[in-house]
Amino acid sequence: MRTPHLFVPCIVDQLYPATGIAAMKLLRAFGCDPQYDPRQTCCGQPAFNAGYHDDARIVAEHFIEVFKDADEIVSLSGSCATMVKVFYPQLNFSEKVNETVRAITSKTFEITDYIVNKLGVTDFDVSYDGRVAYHDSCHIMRELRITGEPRKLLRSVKGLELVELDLADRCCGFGGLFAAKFPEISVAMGEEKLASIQRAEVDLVVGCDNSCLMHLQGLAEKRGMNLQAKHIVEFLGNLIK
Amino acid sequence: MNLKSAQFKLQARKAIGDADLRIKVKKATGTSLAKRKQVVEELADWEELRQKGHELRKIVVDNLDSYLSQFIESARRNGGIVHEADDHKSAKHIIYDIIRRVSADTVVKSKSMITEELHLNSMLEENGIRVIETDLGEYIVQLAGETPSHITAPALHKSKEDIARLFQEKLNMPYFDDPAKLTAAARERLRDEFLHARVGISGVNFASADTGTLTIVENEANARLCTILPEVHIAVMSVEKIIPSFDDLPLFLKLLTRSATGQRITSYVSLVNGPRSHHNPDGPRQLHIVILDGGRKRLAKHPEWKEALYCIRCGACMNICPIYQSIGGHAYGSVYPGPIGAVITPTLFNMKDSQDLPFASSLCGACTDICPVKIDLHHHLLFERREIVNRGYKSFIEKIGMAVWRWTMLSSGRLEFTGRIGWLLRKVLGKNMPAPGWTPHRQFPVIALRSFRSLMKNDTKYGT
Amino acid sequence: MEHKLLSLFQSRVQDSGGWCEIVDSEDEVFTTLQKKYTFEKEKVIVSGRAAEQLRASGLPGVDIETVHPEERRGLLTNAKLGITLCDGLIAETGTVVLLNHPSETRELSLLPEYHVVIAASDQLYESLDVCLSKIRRLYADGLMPSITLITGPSRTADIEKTLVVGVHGPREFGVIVI
Repeated sequence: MRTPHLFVPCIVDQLYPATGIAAMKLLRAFGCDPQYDPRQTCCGQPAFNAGYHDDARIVAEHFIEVFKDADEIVSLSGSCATMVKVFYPQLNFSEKVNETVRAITSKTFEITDYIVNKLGVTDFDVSYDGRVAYHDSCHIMRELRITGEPRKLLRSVKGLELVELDLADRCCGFGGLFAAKFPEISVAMGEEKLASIQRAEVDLVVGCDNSCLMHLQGLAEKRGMNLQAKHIVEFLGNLIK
Repeated sequence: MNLKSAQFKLQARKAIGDADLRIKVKKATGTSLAKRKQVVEELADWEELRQKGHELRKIVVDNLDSYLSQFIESARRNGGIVHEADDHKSAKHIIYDIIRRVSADTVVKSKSMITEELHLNSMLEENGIRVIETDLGEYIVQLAGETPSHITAPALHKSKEDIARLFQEKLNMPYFDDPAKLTAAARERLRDEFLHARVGISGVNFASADTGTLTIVENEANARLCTILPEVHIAVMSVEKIIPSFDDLPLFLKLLTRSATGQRITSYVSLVNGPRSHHNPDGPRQLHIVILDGGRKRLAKHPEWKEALYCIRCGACMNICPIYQSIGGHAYGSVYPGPIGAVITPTLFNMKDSQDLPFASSLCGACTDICPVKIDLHHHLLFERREIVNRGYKSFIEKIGMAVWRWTMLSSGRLEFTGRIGWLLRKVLGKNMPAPGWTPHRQFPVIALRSFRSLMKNDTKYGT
Repeated sequence: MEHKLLSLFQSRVQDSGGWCEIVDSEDEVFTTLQKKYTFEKEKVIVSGRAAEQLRASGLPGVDIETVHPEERRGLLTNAKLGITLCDGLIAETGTVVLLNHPSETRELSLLPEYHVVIAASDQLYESLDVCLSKIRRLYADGLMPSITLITGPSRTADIEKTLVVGVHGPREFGVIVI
């Protein structure tokens, strides 16, 4: 039996625990015995993106310490998986840590990628009646090149109508610290994404990053727009009886 | 270097408030992107062409000195007079000297970003020389007393109504907002200038090291007029415009024109192999080639920053960038706006004054995906952010904040504690929860009563 | 194959806003031009090398070689139509390749309102790569003249990305392939 170690980003841990619970449920339903190490905190991405590589490296070393013995690491965020897989090699670790980093990089997976490509799940017996759009977050789409896997999972839900957004490959404007450093630009980009979602006339938007969804949801609420946005894992997990 | 990037935040906020500007920029960039998509998708080997372009640009930048001397030798063999300028000031003096020596009082100019970088026009005008921009977009921008807001579409920030009003005011003509009529008016006014100017200035898109060929790409024929009719042609280029061989031209033309304007090739491509001579029966009596370093040789030696020199100035990264689309080009405060501008401005000009530019990106990576020579643009923004922090340009408060964040994240207990404080604050303050940069525009999310880690304590497997 | 390339060339010239007629012999050049344009003969200027080729079948305008060099620019500025030959046709892009030739000033393809190129079907190349490398081989022993690649009429999209044909160069561009 596979024993994937759940990598629960700080946003999921503190703001969206339901995503984590659903991930446990899903992975168990697919025959895994998911592990959770409560020592984990953050991958270090906020500092890395802000240019503070030393701070990022120190926090990353904590991550590495927590996950070094895991067989497989499954991330509940495409962006945090990107930090580990793409950006860890750019941090100036000691040679000894670097060896562990190389191992960790290759055994870290974004969760939809893991479910489809590692567990081989492409079809499961759940149904949902409604129109759903998938939001491509930039890191998962352009750094990890994962676009088909989440869609495959959504298409396997009976009754679900998967709708493509007309601006599917456009950034929603979140961008981590960017959202707070340049709020006006971030908001302008978010508004465009919201308009695109409205044009698609969907009941629900799902994605692989709670952070982007939080930005869109926050924008929509401020404007009195009714937007249902959920992490794909939470959406799928809730469909399972 | 006259850099206005230090006021980026202010300029960006102003631009965002200009709804008209956003509509104009979106419309223009959208049209270019749609045309590009069509002509790129018809090439099955586009990805290989990009890779090849990347590799050739890398070879040139890695061996800049030797390619430069090869090019200079070839250009001289063709009869060109080559001038090397270490910095902006000397480049301007060289150009002014050439003009003065032939006692010309007027120069016609076709598009050149290097001359924009030099602020050549204002220097020449201060010295009593009339400078006439002849590319329609540049002509409009010059009439308006502005600078280009896009490297291949200089007047992209103006609507036809804006231009009609401008022509009405500056050219004393009736108001009409038909692009064809406006274009005809510009043609009529510029024709005589071409016929009488004794000096023409142009930019250079590619300079082939092996044959000394200067390639100039355009659609309007104004560059041909500037480089064929006057007695003296001054071609202004920077050192990295060099490509290894004449044989590489088809590749680079393909990458450039398809990315820039969505054309398979532009209306005119001039391959200039020297001034009038026994092998070149017509054209200018003198061809001067002014080659600017301006800090590029220094960049070429830097392991990371050198990649920005691969750029062939197509402007596709601007068109695709959601930030450029939202604020336009002027807000960047640099000759080079958009993603490539945010990458090259801090390293080539002044990092301290332009330190906001690398941060003004959501790092979405659309620019990197569209770049015809595969410059890793959005990752370069990350490298430069690190450099800005390392140079100590960031505020003390931010540094403290980062240290507190690090301290928090080194212990799961501290993270949980911070999260619960957040929960409490959200509970008490509700929707008024203050979060700088976040809440004025967006609702603060509800913080769950119990974190995932605390819920997991009850999970049968992890329960205590 | 050759026929396919030729029709690709023709359609690409049309894509770029030009026209392209394919004729059987030089004899048809004159009538093709007459069908398109009704300019007075003195408003049509023919390059030296084009005049030489067309003389037998009927010269459609003034041979520029017969004009005093100092009067040529003025004549061309007021001309309606400039006629040149070319040194290559590129099927992939609908491009005409012109070498700087002693009896064919580049101003002929630049100053008049219209520009027509007389070409031969054996000048057709599949791509720019092939054509440019052939030109380069041709001048392997000496210096290459300047080369102009022309694709369609002069154009701009600088005002709201609206295409306007005829800016500083010819308003109309055509190719007659023999």
